[in-house]
Amino acid sequence: MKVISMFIIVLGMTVSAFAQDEDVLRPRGSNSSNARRGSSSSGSTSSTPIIFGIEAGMNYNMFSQTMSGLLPDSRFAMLASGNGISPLVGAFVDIEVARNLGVQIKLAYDQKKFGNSGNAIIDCETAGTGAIVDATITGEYTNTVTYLDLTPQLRWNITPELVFLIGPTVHFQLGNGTGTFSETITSAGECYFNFGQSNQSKTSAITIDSIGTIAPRFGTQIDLGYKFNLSSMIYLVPKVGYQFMFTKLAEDEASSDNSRFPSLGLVPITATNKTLHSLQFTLGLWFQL
Amino acid sequence: MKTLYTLCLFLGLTFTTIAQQVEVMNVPFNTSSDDFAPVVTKNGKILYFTSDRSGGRQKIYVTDRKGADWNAPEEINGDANDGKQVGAPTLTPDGLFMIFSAYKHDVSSNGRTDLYSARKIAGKWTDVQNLGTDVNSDAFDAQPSLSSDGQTLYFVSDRDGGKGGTDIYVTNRSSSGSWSKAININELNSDSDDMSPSISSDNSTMFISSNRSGGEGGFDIYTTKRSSGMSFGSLTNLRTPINSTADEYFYSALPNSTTAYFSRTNSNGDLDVMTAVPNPYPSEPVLLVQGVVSDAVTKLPLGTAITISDLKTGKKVANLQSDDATGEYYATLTAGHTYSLTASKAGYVFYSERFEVPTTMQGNTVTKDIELSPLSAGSTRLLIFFDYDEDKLKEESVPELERIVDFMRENSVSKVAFEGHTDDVGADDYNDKLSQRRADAVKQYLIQAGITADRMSAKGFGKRKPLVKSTADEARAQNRRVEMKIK
Repeated sequence: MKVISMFIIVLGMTVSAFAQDEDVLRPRGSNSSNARRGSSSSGSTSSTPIIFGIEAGMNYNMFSQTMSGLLPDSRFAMLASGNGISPLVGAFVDIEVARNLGVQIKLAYDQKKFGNSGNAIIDCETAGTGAIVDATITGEYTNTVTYLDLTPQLRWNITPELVFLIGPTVHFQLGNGTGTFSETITSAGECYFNFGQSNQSKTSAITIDSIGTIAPRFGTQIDLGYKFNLSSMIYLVPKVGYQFMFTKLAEDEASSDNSRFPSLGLVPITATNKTLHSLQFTLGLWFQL
Repeated sequence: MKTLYTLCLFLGLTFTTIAQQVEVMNVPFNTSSDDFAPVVTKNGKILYFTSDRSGGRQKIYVTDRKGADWNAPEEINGDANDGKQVGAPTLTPDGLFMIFSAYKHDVSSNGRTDLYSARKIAGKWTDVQNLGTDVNSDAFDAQPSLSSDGQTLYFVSDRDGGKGGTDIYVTNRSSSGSWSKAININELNSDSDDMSPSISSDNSTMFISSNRSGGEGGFDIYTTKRSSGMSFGSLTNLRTPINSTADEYFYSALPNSTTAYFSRTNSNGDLDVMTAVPNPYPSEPVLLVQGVVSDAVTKLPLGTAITISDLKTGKKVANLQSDDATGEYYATLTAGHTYSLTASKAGYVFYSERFEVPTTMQGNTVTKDIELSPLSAGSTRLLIFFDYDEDKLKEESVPELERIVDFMRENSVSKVAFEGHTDDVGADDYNDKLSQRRADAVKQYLIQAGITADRMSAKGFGKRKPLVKSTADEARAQNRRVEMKIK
């Protein structure tokens, strides 16, 4: 099935490559074979159209990792996945290489922000007596990593307005990734986080790099856009895209679950397959020269 | 047998001589890009053509004569060129109205390439309008050619329902200015691509380009004559030296000129503008009318609407405009008719003139300068016709009378005097009475049209105020007249 799909796409791209926008002499470019018989250079098609563009929009980020060894109702369970919205802006140059086909090279400032929230049960130290009781907490975490994306794509004009782009993308990390992990005890009665802490809520700052973020990351990007003609040279292009990253967000990690310390002790856990993909929604302005 | 050989030799030599006499040359402003669809206006002083020399996008360029040479072409000013591909224009003889083709023009389209009109105002091509759905389809509609009277438009389309490939269609302009539903001209079309129609100034000689079988190769230029209505004779291939194994399109020539222009692909496959001198396929000679419209008081040039009508049929044969900056106007007319020429502009008394174009004037150029009187104390000679010794208005006077009605309605505070004049034949008393009755007849027509009598007076001057003091027939004809003066 996958092979057939690929074949249909390639066939469509090939057929489209031989179609041409018409001009005042050649309907659909159809007379060009006669008008340019023996031609090696060809007026209206000899010049290579170049498009410059800018775009801005948002990511819908989808993070997941496989966590093994977690205690039931562990405070770390919410870290297994996360979603979030964050901005991106980019600029590109697009060079037509054949009829309806072009190469588009884009540089983008691409922020990835994701997080999650949930409830968990921890060992809680009772005020005054020091007795350990079960307590319910709510937790919330957010992580932010910023990249500079370099994305060369092949552009295919399915129709003069409908544009399909596909190509690799490389993400170079800008600065350190950051995050926070906030927890609040919500169960009745007075008890505190264990290890002698005397508060019922706490926020931990996390440097994601400390857990081994990987850079650069490699992936593929697919986009579908629609060109609205603002003038003969300028197009407004809303676009939807998907970034599928082959490189993991961070290295695998071995740690311990301290949710039920000291009643159940420290339990070893692992976090593997840390993936981060994004759906992208952008609005662009394309300036055709 | 010897006679047959001699005849063949004679015919061969004759053909060779004719072929050698026609010199086909590149124009100096061709580039390595496409340069095509030449069209000349203003009596050959200005040439418009299409080129994709700048960034691979077709645009309309213009160049004007510098002696025997052409100045460097420039993109036309204004917003007519604001599209992805724009070109192949056709212009009225005055060079002030254009219909052109455009793919993805900034002005909305009906689909793919459409036809648009534009006007030259203060040196800029603007007021761009889509010709509408009676002319344009959702298919390719391009390469217009406008008849010299501006009333008939030929163009190319690959819309459904044709004979195959691209076909040639025609549409006519109604009195309201709208275009009729386009129809396929069967006699010009084939199942191949038929393109670049070009109707000559005689409104009869037609050139098209086609890649139908039987040509010299690729697209060839063919010619035919329109016999009546939209009926055309059989097509004739122009053969060498116009046609070749390359592609030829857009054959056009100025009226009464020895130069023809067309487009041909060169060895690189790019289109060039070519000239053929002398034009081996001239159209029927026509009369060129040109002149300058100016203010009768200040002598400054005026941009005015000018209408030329056939006095016998009442049919308008040219609707044109004099240039705002120079006051110049140009029109082409066929000989053998009597015409009325009328110029009008807000704030001025309209101007009318009758002139005959005998067949002997065919191929000539006539200059008719026009002076418009400002409304304050202005006057004009009216195109009013009476039978000999009669005071009954003739039928051909009606268009002029209707112009007076319109003038009186548009200038509702103006008061006018109609003054009747006769020639020097006959007794004074008789001529006084005849001229009075004729002035009264004009006044009476306007009263019946709803103009109040107190805004008009009528007086007959007989033969006492001749325009020209002469007894020659021509002078007498000028002296028999009714004038309108603003009071």
